Amino acid sequence: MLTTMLTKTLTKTLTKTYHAITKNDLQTLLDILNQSYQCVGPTVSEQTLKYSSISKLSQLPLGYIDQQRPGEYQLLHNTDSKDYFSITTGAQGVKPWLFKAQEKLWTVSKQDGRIQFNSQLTDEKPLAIMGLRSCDMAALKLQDQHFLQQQFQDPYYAGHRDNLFIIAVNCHRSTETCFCVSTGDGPEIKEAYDLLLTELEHDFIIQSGSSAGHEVLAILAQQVTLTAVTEQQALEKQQRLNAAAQQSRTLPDRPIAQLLAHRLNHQQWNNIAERCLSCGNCTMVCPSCFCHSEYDEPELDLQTSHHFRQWDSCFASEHSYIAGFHFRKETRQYYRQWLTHKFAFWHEQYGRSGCTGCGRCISWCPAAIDVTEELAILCQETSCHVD
Amino acid sequence: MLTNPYLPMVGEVLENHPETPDIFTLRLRLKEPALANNYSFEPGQFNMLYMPGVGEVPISIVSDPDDKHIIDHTIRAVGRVTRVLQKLKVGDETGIRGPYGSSWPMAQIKKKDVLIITGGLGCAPVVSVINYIVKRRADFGRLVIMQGVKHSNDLIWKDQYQQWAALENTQVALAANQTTPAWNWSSGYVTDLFDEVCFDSANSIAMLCGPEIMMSATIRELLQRGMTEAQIWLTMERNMQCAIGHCGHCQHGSQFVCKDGPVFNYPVVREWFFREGF
Repeated sequence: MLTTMLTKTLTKTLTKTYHAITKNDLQTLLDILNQSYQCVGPTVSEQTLKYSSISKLSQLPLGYIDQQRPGEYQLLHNTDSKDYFSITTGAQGVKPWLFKAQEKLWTVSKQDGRIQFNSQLTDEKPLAIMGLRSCDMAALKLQDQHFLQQQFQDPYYAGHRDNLFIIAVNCHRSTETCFCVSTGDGPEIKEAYDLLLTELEHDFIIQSGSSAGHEVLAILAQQVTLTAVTEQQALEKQQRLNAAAQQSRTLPDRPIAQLLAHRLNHQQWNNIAERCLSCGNCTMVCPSCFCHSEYDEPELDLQTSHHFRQWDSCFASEHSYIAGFHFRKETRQYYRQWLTHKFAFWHEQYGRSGCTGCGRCISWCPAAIDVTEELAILCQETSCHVD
Repeated sequence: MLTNPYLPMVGEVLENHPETPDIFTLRLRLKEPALANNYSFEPGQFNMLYMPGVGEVPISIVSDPDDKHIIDHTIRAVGRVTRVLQKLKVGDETGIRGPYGSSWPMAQIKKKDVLIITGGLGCAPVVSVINYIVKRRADFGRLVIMQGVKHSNDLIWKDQYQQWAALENTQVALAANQTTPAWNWSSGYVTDLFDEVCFDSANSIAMLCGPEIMMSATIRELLQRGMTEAQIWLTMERNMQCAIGHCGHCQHGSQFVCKDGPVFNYPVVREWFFREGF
């Protein structure tokens, strides 16, 4: 869509190179992308970070950083800071843009006893999402696996996902709840992006990772000066990545999947259940959770009904309900289902754990339950009670 | 554009036959001839039936896979959707998606003895298997049908059991926990019927359907009688909303019951089977 003879020539010369651009050049990048894409990026909203439609650099959270602890999320503003991407994560990453919290699937209408189904699939302007971090890039891959790479493909997810342009951003700091190093998903982003930014104090290092990325970079090169990365900038990039890799939280260095699956009666499940409110926040903020329920919204004349899906949680009692019976009835079972699915069964389903270390379930848990701490206890070498 | 597996097709009611006050058999055909011609299923699979404005439910298919244009569902009216389905009349339209899920291993069991062991009201998922075998009797060994019900009045398809019992090389054994004087089968649980039936355990396949507590007890009996776990197949029920492995409700350990099941070879589900909370 953006290809011209000139960009084709430039694309060749830009392949696999790193360049530096100034912070203001990001506005030009946004302008270029907004011609062909709906641009989405991090903004400050409702005292957290939220991915919203953006067209101006000024919408990005300049000078903001996040402070996260178990059960705690706070944004701080430093007017001296020139960093746009210091906030690590908000309550949500990219998930709500692709697997929507609520989405109409189809509409059914009834006329003279005859019924007709109409799919609500629509063609949309492709999305360009700026600001994705390593944890959310890994989670995106997990959602792709679930919705697109199984026996059935989800056409709604695919509709939002197709032609998605990703401008990923390397983290230059971690917050207290981050543990992506321990899951092997970060902090450095190594694949699956179209463009990758590393924010330095005064510049960005930009690199492309796909033909679409090359193309956009080539157009950018016509409008701003792409400079070679200096030794000093390369060093600063490394220092910033090193800083992001400083994380205090880790997953236990034990065979978590095997241990969890065989410790279903561990007394720690009861201990957790005493604190857990089964509010489902952890599943709502988790970037890999995929559960959703379907429901109808009939119009008042009862001739038309709209069929929706919306995010659901394994912490809801209806989640396991079939006529007259709940397979899971209590908090201990809800939490155990969530944790064993995420850290044990996910391996069999998708070849790895379902956790990418974003830490959201820790920060957004109103009871400050820390998944890394619980796993450490559940996977301890000398367990109190093992079945 | 991808095909949309979430979108129902239109089904027309050919018949709505009451079996008991709350059980009925709904015969549907797909309205669109092209879709009807392409539709095929295997015994054990299910459809999602939809009532406009009410919702969707998974229902197993009980008709014969060779009857291309009729799709039968035997349904117990217990929930919001099934109660409305019960009211459908001939010529009414409803939504239908499917078929979904795994099927009974019909190809693998040729020449073997087949034990069909069911409990509760719901032997619907195996009726198609019984009919399938009855129609192709020479392809299979001995057919043993064992069914347990809570109360003798709960038994549906009484005539059909009599007909099956009269077939060559076929044995029918029924048990009820509570019985009326007219009941001339056994009393007790389905597991109490093992002393009445004969089969060659080394050359048999068992197919189970019913509450998990009943299937669990039956599995113990089968293993004691020399069958291996791999000879046991069962069908499971869980909350299913999408039927295509996306919505997450039907997860049982690492399995999605809707697409990896509902019919499983027992060793596949053994680890989590009948464990509280799974």
